[in-house]
Amino acid sequence: MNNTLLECRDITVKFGRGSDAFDAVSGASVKVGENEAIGIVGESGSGKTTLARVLVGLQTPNQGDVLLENKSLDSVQNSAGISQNDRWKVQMVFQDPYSSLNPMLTAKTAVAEAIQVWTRCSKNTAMNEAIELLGDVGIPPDQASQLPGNLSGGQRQRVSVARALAPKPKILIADEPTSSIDQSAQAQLLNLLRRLQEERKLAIIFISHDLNLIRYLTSRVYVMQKGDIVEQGPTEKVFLKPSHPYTQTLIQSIPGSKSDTTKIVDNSGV
Amino acid sequence: MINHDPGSSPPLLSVNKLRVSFRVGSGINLPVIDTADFILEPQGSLGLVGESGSGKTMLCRTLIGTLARHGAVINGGNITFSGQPITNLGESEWRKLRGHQIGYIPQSSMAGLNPILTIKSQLSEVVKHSTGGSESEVRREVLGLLERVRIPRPTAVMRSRPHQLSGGMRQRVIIAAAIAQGPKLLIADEPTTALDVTVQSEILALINELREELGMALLLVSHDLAVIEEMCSLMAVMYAGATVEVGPTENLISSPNHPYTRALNTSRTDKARPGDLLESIPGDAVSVGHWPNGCRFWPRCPIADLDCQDGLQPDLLAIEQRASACIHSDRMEVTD
Repeated sequence: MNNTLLECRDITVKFGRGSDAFDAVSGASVKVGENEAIGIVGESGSGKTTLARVLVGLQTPNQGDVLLENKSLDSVQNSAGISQNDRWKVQMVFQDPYSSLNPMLTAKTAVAEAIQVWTRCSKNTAMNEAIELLGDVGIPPDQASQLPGNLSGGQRQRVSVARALAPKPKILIADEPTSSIDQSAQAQLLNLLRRLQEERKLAIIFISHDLNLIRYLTSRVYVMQKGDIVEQGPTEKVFLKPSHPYTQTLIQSIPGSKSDTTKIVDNSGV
Repeated sequence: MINHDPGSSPPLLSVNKLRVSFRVGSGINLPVIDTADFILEPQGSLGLVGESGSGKTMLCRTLIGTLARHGAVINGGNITFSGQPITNLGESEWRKLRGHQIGYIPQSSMAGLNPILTIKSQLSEVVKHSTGGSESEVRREVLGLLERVRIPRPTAVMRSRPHQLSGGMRQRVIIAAAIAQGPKLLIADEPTTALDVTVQSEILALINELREELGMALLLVSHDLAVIEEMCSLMAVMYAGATVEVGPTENLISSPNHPYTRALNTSRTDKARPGDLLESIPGDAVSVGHWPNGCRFWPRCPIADLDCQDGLQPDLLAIEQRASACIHSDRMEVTD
């Protein structure tokens, strides 16, 4: 791994109160280096999205620190004023492009808005930059003037990527970026993210339950189960020689892994 | 059309040149399936793949007789089930078929269940039709069904309401309802899309076990080729309302005869080596109402030429066990 860019240490997030209280994330530590692609895998409820929200600063952890370039994100957070902190360096692409884009804003306005928030430039400059940025993610100018409702799922997700790129971040966190789009659009998006990683020297954190996707895209992986990181390491190694039983179950469950599916134990509770 | 050996018993399901349209205003029709062609033998398995908007779900609705509820009609072709025509059945005839002969697992397990009724009362409704028996008989039937779909602690589950169950358990309840009357055909529309990978593999294993137990044929809709590969011996690929390639799954994956089938296969992350660029299909899937002339795939096709751009969507052309709608399928190179 190159120099550590973003790191979280012993993160615990509690949800609920009293007897309903539980740890969505308990004592998780994750690091990502410059220009590195890492993955966080796990099933729904394993805490991977909560951890992602902590990393991007949307969720305050009950315990633990988030360090961006060795500076605490927490201390910055307390000094008011968005532009003064370094939050812009970490951006998120959300799971569902149907709900993460404002249906009343055209693609270019949505991206221009993000550019203006971060750079405080004129509306015109922002609009021109937005069109350029959208072009870079494969949205031509005529589609850039469309409302999200007139765009396909794949196109919408590319608009979300353009919006996340607006402040020229160093880290992109992609939470299940392909789960709601078609396979051909999925390949386009994954190729795009890989190209952006290379061209913009981005670090990318992929959150996914799709193990094939994680294997294809990342060099290191963290496996989460019930709020714990149960296994971590170089992606290929974890896939070829999973050491934790949960990781083994996950890998055996991949369709086409040719395992005897009938042997899988029923461990889903009521 | 795909060849069917005339010497054998009739196929379980035969879909011939099926056309379905949405009714938009008076007399204006918006085609959504044009045309679908495939055959499913008794106890066979066929995977239906394609992107959203390709007509997969509308085809399922056609096969369970609920098109009218979605404002659509069959306007061409025919369907036979166990040798009997079912193209123009009325609702009362569908009621005898749906559930009894053709079971259906919908995409979302939450939508398939009534949120305010207990599992027992929902499954009771299904078994009452067949047993017509006493309270205790119905209860025993329901319990038996839950055991059949391997639900742990079935008596507790009977008293639960859908929100108290996990997604995987809800899907098992849906499956229980679908198989309650021992259908000959099970239609599953993306049955595991919303589920985690470990739960998905349990549900798929359950479907396989039940197929074997009950001798059911399976029509499985999925956008996940790996799932189809694992579950189905035959595969039909849909693009923009048409079945563009049909045949044994193995063959379609190892040597596709339609560029779209090939593209679906090469854009899979599970087959790509880390670091390789995925071969993506340029452009976006065409939506209903925006189909181009000629072969509907030509604007995105790497081997399309002028011949592909005119006229109607080419028909499936059968060669032995498989059929492709590509007029240039001889130009398809073998993958790998």
